Amino acid sequence: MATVLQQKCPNCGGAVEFDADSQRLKCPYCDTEFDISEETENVANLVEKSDWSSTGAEWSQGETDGMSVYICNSCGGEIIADESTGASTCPYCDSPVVMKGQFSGTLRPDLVIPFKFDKKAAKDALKKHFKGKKFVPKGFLSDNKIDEIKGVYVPFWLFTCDTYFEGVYTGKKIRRWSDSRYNYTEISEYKFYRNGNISFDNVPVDASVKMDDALMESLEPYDLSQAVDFNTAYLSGYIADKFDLSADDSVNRVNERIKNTAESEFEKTIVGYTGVSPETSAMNIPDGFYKYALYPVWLLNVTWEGKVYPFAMNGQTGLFVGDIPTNKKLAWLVGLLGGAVAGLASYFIAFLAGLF
Amino acid sequence: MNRKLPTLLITLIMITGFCFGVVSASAETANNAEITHSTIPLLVDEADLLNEKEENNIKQKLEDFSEKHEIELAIITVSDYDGYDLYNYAAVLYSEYEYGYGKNRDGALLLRYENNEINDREIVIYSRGKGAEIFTDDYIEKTFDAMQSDIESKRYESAFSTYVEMASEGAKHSIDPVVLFVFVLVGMVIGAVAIKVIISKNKSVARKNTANLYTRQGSMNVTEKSDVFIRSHITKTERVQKESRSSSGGSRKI
Repeated sequence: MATVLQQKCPNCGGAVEFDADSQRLKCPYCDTEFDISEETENVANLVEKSDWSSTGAEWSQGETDGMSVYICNSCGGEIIADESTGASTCPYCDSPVVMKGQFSGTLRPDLVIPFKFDKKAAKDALKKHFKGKKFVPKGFLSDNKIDEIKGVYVPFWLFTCDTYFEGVYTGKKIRRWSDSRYNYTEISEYKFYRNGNISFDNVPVDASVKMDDALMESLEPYDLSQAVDFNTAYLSGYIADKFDLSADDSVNRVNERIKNTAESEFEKTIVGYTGVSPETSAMNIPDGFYKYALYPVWLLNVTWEGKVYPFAMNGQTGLFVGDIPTNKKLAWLVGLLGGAVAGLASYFIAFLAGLF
Repeated sequence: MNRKLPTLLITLIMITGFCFGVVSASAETANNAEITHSTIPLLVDEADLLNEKEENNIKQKLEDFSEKHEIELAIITVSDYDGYDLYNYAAVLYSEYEYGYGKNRDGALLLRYENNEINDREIVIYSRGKGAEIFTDDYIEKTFDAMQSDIESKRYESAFSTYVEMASEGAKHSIDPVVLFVFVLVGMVIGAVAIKVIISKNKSVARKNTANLYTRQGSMNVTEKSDVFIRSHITKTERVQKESRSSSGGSRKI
């Protein structure tokens, strides 16, 4: 694995790594373990502004010394690494990356959730993920090749807000009765008006353009209570991705998720009606703020027959996700044909048992 | 792919299908149980074509069949009837004697008319519900063919036994293609649902379109709430009267 950001061991001067098991820094050469020193910690203040327009704290002078930004020629992904790294591979597309320049002036992360699972756990989780899966194309499970497994700190914007919601819903009440000649159905239509407030804390939006949004959202939730103030020491041994999607560009996504939730939560207050659905709704966020956080993700690319299948593990909770290819034709053939044969057999068994 | 899977899938579907069969059969039985069968003897030999021993023998066969299949099989012999068409007379007798199982009055009546004084004779089969499913027009003809020589030779016990045997044979082979199709269709639907569930387990990547996990507990506050009635309309449809199952029958001058 490429060690891309290094801190020196105070004992032997070797490059130390963050140890996910002990949650401390560990020197692989002299086995010295030590806490992330108070001196190196730079506590970032949370950014609070209305209308999602805040910016975060800047790097302090000297903090980014030795850090560089690498840009992938193939996919354009940017990676934070130490300047001594001559070459590495892009964690997103496996292409070689080249150094771009000094890492400075960009927003400093407020929080970081440290890795709790190591590389071996990620590899084991992949095996477990494959276990028991049906209708996987022949050879995928036996002939696949696991490319390099990478621990990546993925940038996220965490949005917090109080929301004022106004919603109009429609719904029906249906009453049925009969007399000796006719069946009657009365359908009464209603409109429901619901206004109110609802608040959200730390709704995450992946701030990396090249990271697959669905893959990242599938890894949710993270436990933010275990987040710590950002310190570059946590990046030791991992790749840290720099945000390339601004908070402003992420607002649409967070607004969409918040609105959907508000709409469904207020809809739950309409009881005793059928076919309730939202007609119009509006949302006002008078005072929202966001933080910049790094979340731990293990990325595993599996290659089979020249195609790359991305898998990921939540580095904090161990949740493992990734779509496994399916032989759909075979699956439907087995399902429909098997169902027809079984239905036929059931009929004759029932018939012979005298049920008909 | 796990080789055991198709076997497991088929077993699962078969069990479900079998349960479906049991349930539908039980429902039908429960339905039929609402109205019991006739208390009139299944053999009424007014024309006196059988001796007592023969009568008992045929009666037993009719009862055995009726009990086993829940299709009431009856025989009436007459030497006279009041100007009716014999088939209509059989229908009237079937109704008056309240033959038939359940509300569909499943059953069949063989009516033999024989008047030796005017040398007039005829035989008809009137059937309803499941009885009509057995005694189709073709099958009635086949039954008459099988009985003809015995009737012409006045071996009535043998002729009536043939009638019971033909009914048994017909009941044994009355595979309902509609029910069979429903079973196959249900099997395919269950198979499709099972496959959908199985292959959905191969997918674990999906966007999250809500932020429910991040709602601040107790933060929701409804400040305005009103339910406004807009309009209502009433539709009425004529009630469909349940039609009883069709009856069928046929006659032959033998």
